[in-house]
Amino acid sequence: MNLIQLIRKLKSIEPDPAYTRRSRSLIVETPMTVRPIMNLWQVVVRGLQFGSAIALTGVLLILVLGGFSVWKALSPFQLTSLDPASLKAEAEAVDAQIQITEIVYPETLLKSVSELAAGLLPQKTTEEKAAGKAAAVDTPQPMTIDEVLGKLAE
Amino acid sequence: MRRLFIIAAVTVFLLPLSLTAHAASNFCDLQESFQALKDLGVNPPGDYFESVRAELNLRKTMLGKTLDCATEEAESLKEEIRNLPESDPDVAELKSFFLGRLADVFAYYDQQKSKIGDLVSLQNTKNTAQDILLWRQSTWEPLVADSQNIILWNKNQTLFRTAENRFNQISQTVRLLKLLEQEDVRRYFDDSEKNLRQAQNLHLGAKRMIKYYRPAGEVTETIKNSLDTLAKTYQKFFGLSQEVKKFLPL
Repeated sequence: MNLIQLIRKLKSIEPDPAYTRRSRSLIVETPMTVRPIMNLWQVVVRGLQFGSAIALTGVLLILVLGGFSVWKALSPFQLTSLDPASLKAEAEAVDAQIQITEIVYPETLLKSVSELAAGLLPQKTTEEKAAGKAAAVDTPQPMTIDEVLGKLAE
Repeated sequence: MRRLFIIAAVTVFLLPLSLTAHAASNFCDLQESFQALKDLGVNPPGDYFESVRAELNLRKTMLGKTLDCATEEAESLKEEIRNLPESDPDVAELKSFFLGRLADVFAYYDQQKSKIGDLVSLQNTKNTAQDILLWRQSTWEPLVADSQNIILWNKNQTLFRTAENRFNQISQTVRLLKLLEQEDVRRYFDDSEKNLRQAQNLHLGAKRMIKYYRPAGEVTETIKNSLDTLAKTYQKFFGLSQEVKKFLPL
């Protein structure tokens, strides 16, 4: 028997009638699973579930990519209190205020310092004083109230 | 980010506020009037009497304008004093005291201004100018110096509060982590506390000095010393931070 004849013979193969009957009845008797129609509440719940899943994934990505430190987050201690950057910022604010004190309030500071330093500083010669006075006359400067009163008293 | 914020805050708020006192302009632009006075001497408008009358009127006008400038200057200071908070009873008391002294200043300027019309000679105007000048030196200048000190002191309050908070947080951290058992950490911690308390004492001392009318120069120096000591406190905080870094990730 060659191969062609063998294949043709396969066409005549039929299942056992009893098996066919049993299988059919099994299929027919199986209850149909109908997909239930979702109500509005279920739609909302499904939407929320999906939305929160997306949001949680986003938060996780931000934490991972943003360099989140578990140590710092879970530490009960305020380690940020020793953070050099914030310490530097506060120290700079103090330095700025020291400078402001020296710029804005030089008169009161100088008054007492000059008392201590009296006699230690080289005194201006008469020529230097005259030169300074001449320069002041050449370039008119806005006068203070006391300067105006001094001139009006002359 | 926080550092930038603090620097910006200092630049934007602190500096302009501090400069306001200084910028409470003590300048008075009378250049043109002085030129007119000079011209009167060179080219008298008529006979001797007419010339004297013109100079007298000009000098009286100039005195009036100068008093206006002085009043404006006092108004600026008053505004600064009015901005002082009343939460601290001492500051509130000083605020009320300085406002009272300023009321006397305004009354003096008003009185002088009302007298100008009665001046009948050039010498009268010169004497009045001299009197006002002397009054300013003996009364106004000390008032300005004293009130600028309390304004400056009040501005420093924020810095001292920030430093105290910082120290409390650091203290909590090093105690809970038992870092004070480390000798170097302990040394920096003790030094920072010592400096902070010293700075606070100087700061409070400066307020007492203002309250008990100590010379303004002494008060300003004490205020500056308090800030210098506060700066040293931060140096110790930095040292402490470096030491703690050896044991913990910062």
